[in-house]
Amino acid sequence: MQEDVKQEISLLIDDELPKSSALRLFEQIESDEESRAQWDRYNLIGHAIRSGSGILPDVEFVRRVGRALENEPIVFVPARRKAGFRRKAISTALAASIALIAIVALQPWSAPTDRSFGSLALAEYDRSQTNPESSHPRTRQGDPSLNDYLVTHNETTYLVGTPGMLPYARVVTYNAKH
Amino acid sequence: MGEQIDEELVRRVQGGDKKAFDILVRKYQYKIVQLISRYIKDSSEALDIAQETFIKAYRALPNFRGESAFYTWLYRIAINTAKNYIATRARHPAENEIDIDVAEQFETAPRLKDQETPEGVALTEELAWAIQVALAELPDELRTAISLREFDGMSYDDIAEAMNCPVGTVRSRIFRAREAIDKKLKTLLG
Repeated sequence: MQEDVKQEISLLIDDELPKSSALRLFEQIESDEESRAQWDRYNLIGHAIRSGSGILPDVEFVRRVGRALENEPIVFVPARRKAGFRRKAISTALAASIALIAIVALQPWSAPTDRSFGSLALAEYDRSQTNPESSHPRTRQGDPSLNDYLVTHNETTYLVGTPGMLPYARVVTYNAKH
Repeated sequence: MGEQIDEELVRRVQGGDKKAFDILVRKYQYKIVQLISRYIKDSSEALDIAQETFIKAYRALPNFRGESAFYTWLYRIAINTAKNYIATRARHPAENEIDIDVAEQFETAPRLKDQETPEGVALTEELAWAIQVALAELPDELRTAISLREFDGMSYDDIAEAMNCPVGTVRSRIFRAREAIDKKLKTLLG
């Protein structure tokens, strides 16, 4: 047998041969007795090195399995997309849906860009209550009706004891006194 | 690389190509026999269980969706088949006693004759011994390369890094090691 074929068989055993060459060589091994014997001997060497025990080449093994499967129906599975692609597609669709829902749901609350808007407004409101002479009785920014709403909301939330809500309006009042 | 080849072969079998399954059997025959031998010491029994493993795998292939590697899937079938065999044998020990005359009528008879006779056992032991001796006689760099591959299952890239040499050299060393051992093996096998 040619040296390069033997070397290819050695690479094939170690999964180091490119796919196309590997498939071609496997087909050659199936049809050529000499290549098959070489394949078997190289495998025996590996087996003996790994296990420390010998084994005789079972040249009939593949044929016996083939014979046992002779009466089995031919497997036919319609081609399907790779599981990996399918999983990726589902994940992407799910992520996109969640992002869309999040954007739509948060839309009304994203208008005030200044994070301190609420607290500033409340502080202004309290100041106007404690100091009627103030030249700016109303808020610096926003609609005064919004202030009323926020104060009512905070007070109500605190009174009904909604879990996780701090008595925010009280803290503001405390600061205003100082 | 190996997984891509398996994927292609599985795809062919699932497309109705029975010959592609022969290639998968040839590719994994020794690994599966070796795996089963960890559970079942008798080599002829191990071969029978290996055969059963491949038959089960063929029957289950329509349900194989490629979510794990083919070998991982086959490995699980082999272990389950071996364990079931041990459990069945433990429950019905007498049923597995087959008269040698009957056994020889089975299609596995040539293998039983070859491997389980005193001559077969002696030859198997002689092969193992010859391979170990040939391995010990190899030059250091060849022995190290093939040992890292066969004992540790390292890839050629990892062996190249460990031995501080190009991958091409690893390829050549492993091949030369196999060839040197094979020469002694061929003499024994005739």
